[in-house]
This record gives sequence, C-alpha cells and structure tokens, in this order.
Amino acid sequence: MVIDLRACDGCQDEQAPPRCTAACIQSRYVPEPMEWIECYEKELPGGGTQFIPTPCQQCQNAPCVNVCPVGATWHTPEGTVLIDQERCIGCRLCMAACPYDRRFFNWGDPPRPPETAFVRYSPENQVGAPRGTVMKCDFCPELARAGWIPYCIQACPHGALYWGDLEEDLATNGKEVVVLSRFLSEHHAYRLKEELGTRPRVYYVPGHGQNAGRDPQRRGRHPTRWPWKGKARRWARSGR
Amino acid sequence: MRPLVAGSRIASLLALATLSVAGLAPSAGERPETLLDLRVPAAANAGEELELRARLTDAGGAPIPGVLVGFYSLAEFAGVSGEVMLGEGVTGADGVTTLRYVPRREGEIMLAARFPGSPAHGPGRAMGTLSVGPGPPLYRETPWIRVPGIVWALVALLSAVWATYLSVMVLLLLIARDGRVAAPEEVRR
Amino acid sequence: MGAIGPVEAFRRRLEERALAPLTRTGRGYYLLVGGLLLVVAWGLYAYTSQLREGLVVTGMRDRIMWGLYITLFVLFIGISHAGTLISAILRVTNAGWRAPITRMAEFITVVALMVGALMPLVDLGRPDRILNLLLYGRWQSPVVWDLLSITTYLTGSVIYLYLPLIPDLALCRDRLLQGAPRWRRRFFRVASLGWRGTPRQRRLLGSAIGMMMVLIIPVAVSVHTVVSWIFAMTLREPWDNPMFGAYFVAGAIFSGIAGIILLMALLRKIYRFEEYITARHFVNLGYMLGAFVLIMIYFNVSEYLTTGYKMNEEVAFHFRQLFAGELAPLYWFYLLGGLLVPGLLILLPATRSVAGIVTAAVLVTLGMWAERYFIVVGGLRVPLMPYEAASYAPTWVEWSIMAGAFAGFGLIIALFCKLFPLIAVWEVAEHHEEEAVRVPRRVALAWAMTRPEGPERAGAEWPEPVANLEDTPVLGGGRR
Repeated sequence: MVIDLRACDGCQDEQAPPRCTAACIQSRYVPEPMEWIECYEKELPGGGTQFIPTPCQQCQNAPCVNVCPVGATWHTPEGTVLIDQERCIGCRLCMAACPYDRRFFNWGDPPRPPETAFVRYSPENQVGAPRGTVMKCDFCPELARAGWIPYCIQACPHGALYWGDLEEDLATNGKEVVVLSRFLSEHHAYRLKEELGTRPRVYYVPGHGQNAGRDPQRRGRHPTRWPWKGKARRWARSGR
Repeated sequence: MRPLVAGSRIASLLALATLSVAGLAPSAGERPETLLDLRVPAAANAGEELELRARLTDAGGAPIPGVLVGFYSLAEFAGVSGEVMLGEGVTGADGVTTLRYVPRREGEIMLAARFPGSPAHGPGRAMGTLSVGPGPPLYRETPWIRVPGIVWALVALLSAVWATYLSVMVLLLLIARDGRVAAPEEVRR
Repeated sequence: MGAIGPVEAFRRRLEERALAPLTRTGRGYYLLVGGLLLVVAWGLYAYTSQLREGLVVTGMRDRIMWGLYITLFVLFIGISHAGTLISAILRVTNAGWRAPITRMAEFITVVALMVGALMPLVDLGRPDRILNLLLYGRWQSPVVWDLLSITTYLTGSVIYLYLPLIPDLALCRDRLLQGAPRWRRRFFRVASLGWRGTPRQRRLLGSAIGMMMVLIIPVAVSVHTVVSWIFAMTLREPWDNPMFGAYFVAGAIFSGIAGIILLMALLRKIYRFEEYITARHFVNLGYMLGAFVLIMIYFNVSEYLTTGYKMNEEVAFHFRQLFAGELAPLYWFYLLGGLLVPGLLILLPATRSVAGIVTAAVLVTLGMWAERYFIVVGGLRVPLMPYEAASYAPTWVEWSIMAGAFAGFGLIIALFCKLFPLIAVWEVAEHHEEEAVRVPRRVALAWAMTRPEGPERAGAEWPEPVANLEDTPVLGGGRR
C-alpha cells in the first residue's frame, strides 16, 4: 500500500470522520474502540500538521510474527500478516512488540451488528473473533482475491491511498494506475520508522494534503464513529 | 512537484507548448511534423531486462536532440486500467533515447512512446506490442536472520540441565535403596 | 544415657525447637491461615469475574496492554531468586553461617515461583487455550523461552529444596512418633527415602547437593534474564535495552534478599528461633542487601546517563513521566525509599540492627514493586505514534488478584511450616560440631591477644564461644 500524504486532508473538507477509517469500521465491523486504519495528526517541522492514515504496516520482518508463542500470526504468501483468532492465546506480546501500535485486543466480547449473524469467522474475515484475542488490519484479503481494492482505498475521496502489488510492480488508487517502483522513487516515498528494520509494506509520500487543498495550519479532524454500535448493543441485549 | 496522472502531464505540457508556441508562430499546427520510431523486441519473458529504443526525427529524417520522450504502457490492475508512464529519456545527438524495461507479467503488452512537442517541433507518437512469456516470480522476500543450529543449541542446553536433574534422581534412588539394605545397627541419623 | 556433652545438648535443643512448629499449632496459626484463605478466596472471586466478563474488567487497554499482573509476575519471579540463588551461592562458597536460613530461602523460591508463574496465566486473554503453547509452541518466542526456563527452574528448585530436607524428614520420621496423625507419619516415612545416615547415603546426598547447587546458579540467572527478554525483545524505547537482563537479575537478587530477611524475621519471632537465627544473619544479609543497593544505583546511573545524554524524543518522554510526570511518585519512592534509605540504614552502625535491617527489607520490597510497576507500565506509556499518552490504573479486580497472590504466597509458606522443619537441623548441627572443634582454638587465640584475662576463658563451655562469635558481624565469618 502507498499512502500519498499530499492528497490526505484527514477528510477536513468532507466535514466527516476520515472516510478510510469509517469505511473500514462499516464494512469490516471493526469493534469499538479499534481503528484498524487510524488517521494520526502529526506536527510539521515548519508549524501546522499533517495527517497520516496508518493501517497495519504488514512488515516483512514483522516483530509481531517473530514473538508469537503459538504461531497464531503469520505471513501469507502474498505478504500480508494475518491472525488466527482461534489459536491466539491472548498473551499480547505481539501488541507490545508492534512498534506502530497497530494491534488491538478484544478486552470484552467484541460488539457486532445483527447483519453479521451469518458471517462465518475466518482469519481473513475477523468478524466473530472471540474475546481475549488480538485483531488488526488485514488488507481485506477476500477483496484482494476477488481482484478488488480494500474498502479504505475505495472510500478515499482524494485518491490518497494506493493498492499495489510488488510482483506486478503496479499500484492503483481506484482512479489511475501507476508503476509502483517509479511512483515510490519519484515522490521520495518513505516508510514509518524505517530505521527499525521492520521493512513495512506500507509506503508514504510526504505531504500535508496540499493536493487536496488543505491548509496545514488548519488542525483537527472529526472524531471516529462506530455507526452500528447502538444496533450491536441492542442485538446483544436481545440475547444473540 | 509533478502531476500524478500521465495523461494530465501530457495535457499540461501540451498546453504549455501551445502557449509558448503561440507567441512565436501563428498556430501550433504550423510547427514542423516529427517522426517517432519505437523499437520493441518482439518477444521476451517476464523478468527479462529489455531495452526500449525511441528515435525522434523531423520530417526530413534529421535527428532532434535534447528533448524529453516518455515511454508508456497500457496496464490493468485491480479493476482499474489506464496508461502508466514507464519512464522518460532525453534524446541524444542521434535523436535516440532508450529505457530499460522489465516486463512483469505474462501476456501482450501495449507500449507507447510519446514526444509532447516543443516550440520548434510538433508532437510525435509511436506504438509497439510486446508478447511476454512466463518467467520466475519477481518479488522475493528477503529472509531475516537465520542462525543455523540455534534451536539445537537450545535443545542441547535444556537437555543438559534436565539430564543433571535426572542423574540427581538416580542418586536419590540409590539413597532409597541403601536405606532398605542398611543394617539396623548402622542407623545413624 | 549418662552425661550429655555440650554438642549433644545443643543438638537436642535444636531438634526440639526446629520440630516444634510441626507438633504444636496455636490458635494464631489457624486465625492466620483462615485470614489468608479469605483473601485468596476474594482473589479467586475477582478472577472468576474476569473469566466471566473478559479482561475488560481490568484497567488494561490497547495502548497499555500489560499492567499489574505482569508487574507481579516479574516481582515474584524476582523474589524467587532469594532462595535458590542465595542459598546456592552461600553453599558453594561454603559460608557456614548460612545453615539456619537456607531452608527458608529455598521455601521462598519454590513458593514465589509457583505464585509468580500463575500471574501470566491470569493475564492471558484465553486461558482455556493454554495447551496451544505445547501444541504450537514456537522456539522463536520469548514466551516459550519463559515457559521453558521457569519450568526448568521450578523443577530444579523443588529438587534443591528437597535434597537437604531428606535427613530432616528422616528426623521427623524418627522423632514425631506419638501424637502425629497417621498420614503425616506415612508422609515422613515415604519422603525420607529410607534415610539412615549411612556413609554411603551421606556421600550420595553430598554429591547430589553438590551437583544441584552448582547447576541452580546459572539456571536462576538465566530465568530472570529470560523474563527481562519479554520486554527487551521489543522495539519500545525504555525496554529495548541490552542491559535489561543483568538489571533484572540484579533486581531479582536484591528483592530476593529482602524477601529472605522478612521471612526470617517473621518466623524467628513466631517460632523463637533466636538462638539459631541471630543478629549476625541479619547483618550479613544486610551487607548483601547493601551491596545490591550499590549495584542497583549503578544500573540506574548507567541507564539514565547513557540514554539521557542523547535524549531522543521517546527517552525525553520517558524521563518526564518518570521524574516529574505520572510515574514520578513511584519512581522517587523507589529511588529514595527503595534504594537510598535502605542503603543508609545498613551503612550507619546505629541502624544496623535487626529492626533497622528488617525496615530496610520492607522498604526494598515495596521499592522493587514500584520499580517493576514503572518498568512495565512506563515502558508501554511512551507513545509509539503521534497520539496522546494513555493512562493506566488497576481496577479492583487487579488489586484483589494481587492481594490474593500475596495471601496465597503466605498461605503456602504457612502450610509448609507444618510439613517441613523450617531450619535445616542436620546442617546446623553439623556446622555447630565443626565450629565446636575449630572455633575454640581461634577464639582462644583472639582473646589471648585482645584481653588480658583471655586465656582462662578459652576453655569455656562450647555454646559460649558460639554465642560470642554471633556478636562479631563478619561476613561469611564462619569457616574462614
């Protein structure tokens, strides 16, 4: 994944919570208060801020995979890191090990809306993961297999998120296709905390939303919402 | 900073060219025509490094040096298709520029070279197709540190400790046996 | 019978004292055990509510995902170093004065390990899947290293506790004939392995103890190193520290010594062991505690100076929270109350008494709890991404489980008091016999040089020189 920060304004213009986070929560039934892709606001050196949407970095040398005592988290052949919530013992060492804070824990029973009643759990579709297990962004593997791009990228109004393939060396934000390697070099892409040697598969193009017309001095974004929360609570009360 | 979309880049360059040409000549259409020739190997395998070669000349066949020529291909990815820029090159004294290109996927690939035009020359365009055969996987995970035999070192260490425990147990068994055979008069706490 | 020699008299007195807790049980004991049982039951109740609701009943959340449980895990595993390590080091170096306290030290080890090893289980999100560790365990994971090292250490320390117990269990078998319930006589008969004290048995036991005391030292050191690696194998600023293993081992021995001092003081008071556990034992352990105060201060200076000199952003945050922020009360309590004051109590001759040293041990135990807490919580509080630092406060469930863990610790020790002699009778007796031969000559010589009336007293009865020797606080003085 490539995230072009020049095009990300944290959805300030939309007067809404970041669309990527919202789409993720809506489509993947991400339980509150998890934000598998989270829009951090970071200070810029010259004053003002930038927004950094942060999904799981899908590291090639993933600390979480290295420390898991039971092999409940692993690299798929495509390179994403998945979690088997039917094997996870809930020791949370992976959360301690993740330098990007991109892992979340089901402290209680994760809430889920009634429309998930017939969804079957699999490591590729984490709805129905039991409490006491770890969850995270998985790059929507079911969509990827069907030849689609993840929900967050589909939802981005500014085309700031690109979905790429290192084998084909192509990437797309749903509007145009670019040559991945060329795009990365040409726009001086970097990776978060590159010096740690985790070798993330998520790249960032530096910027502060200028391509979306954002003034870096304009701070703050709309807080994240879990729109189906109430429904889930009512459903849980009615004894699912 | 460069615009993202290859098409818009061309458009803006063209617009720029049109504007600047407008100052010099009555209209852009009156600029002399250019000929662009794209040489593409007929067939290759995925992962093989190829050379795309474009030669830019004017109508009279004289090379046009020192201008930027772009190379493009038609690509389809995750349901989105479009023209992607592969790279650019500046023509030399012989009007030739080359691009190193590695096809990544099996199949027919549409390639194109384009010269957007300059104040002195009109735009030029050339197409080519390349049929790509199968190749090895191109993206390989770089393995992280593997120390051969480290697990066996750990196993050996643990076994040594547990073997010592075991031998202590054997000593205890010997003590117990001695307790049974010891004569009562030997008794001493 | 005839006349009883002084050595024999000492031995009989010792046996009586050491076996008294096994034969006589007062009302206080039942009250204590009842109280501890209540607290343990309360802790278990809290745990059932955690099982019912999930870890959501704790104060832990995604950003600070470990808390009091892991703190206690580190603390208890640390205290467990008391025993084995210290008693093994003293045994290896042949420090004769160790004899009356080794048994208690080894008790602490086994009990603290049992309680400490439970804490990560309490912390697990899916305790029902604990067997996955055996089914799918990966060598690469620090959790598996912990599992291996702690089970190895627990097994080793149980063996190491049991070996020197054998002659004493035989003593119980021979002495506690009348009045003892049948199951207990049976227990002693089986557990003492038919010990008759034959020369061959003594030789075998000697070599078994010899093997274990040498082996248990590296095992103990490795355990706390591996515990620290749970933290040091992550990419979090204050944890990602090559010094962590050594720092944890030092802290473990430090809190372990404090643990022995506390237990020693308690049992000496309750069971009137004053003749065997003397001021000298407290002072000697006090010196060891003092040495570790210096080592801990050294580690603190090393860590804070090397990271603080460069002061990267995360270190700056960590320093602020430690020295002036949310964790400052704990940090300053640890530094002043847990290191400085105990150090002074031991350094100043006026406070180098039993009371002073016990106070120091209490402070050290509390200080080390604080240290473990701010290592765990402080390390997780440092923000990894641009967000506001999270906060953590344990809930009643966590506090209750902590109370239950400490009560459980006390309870198992209390039960052990009724099963095993608290003083290694044969070792103390043996040491006394050796001293009886060796000391008079030395004492006579010393007195001859220091006191004009010395030579006449040199021929005094045996117990006296020993009593005098106890007044001279010489570290490891016994057999040198």
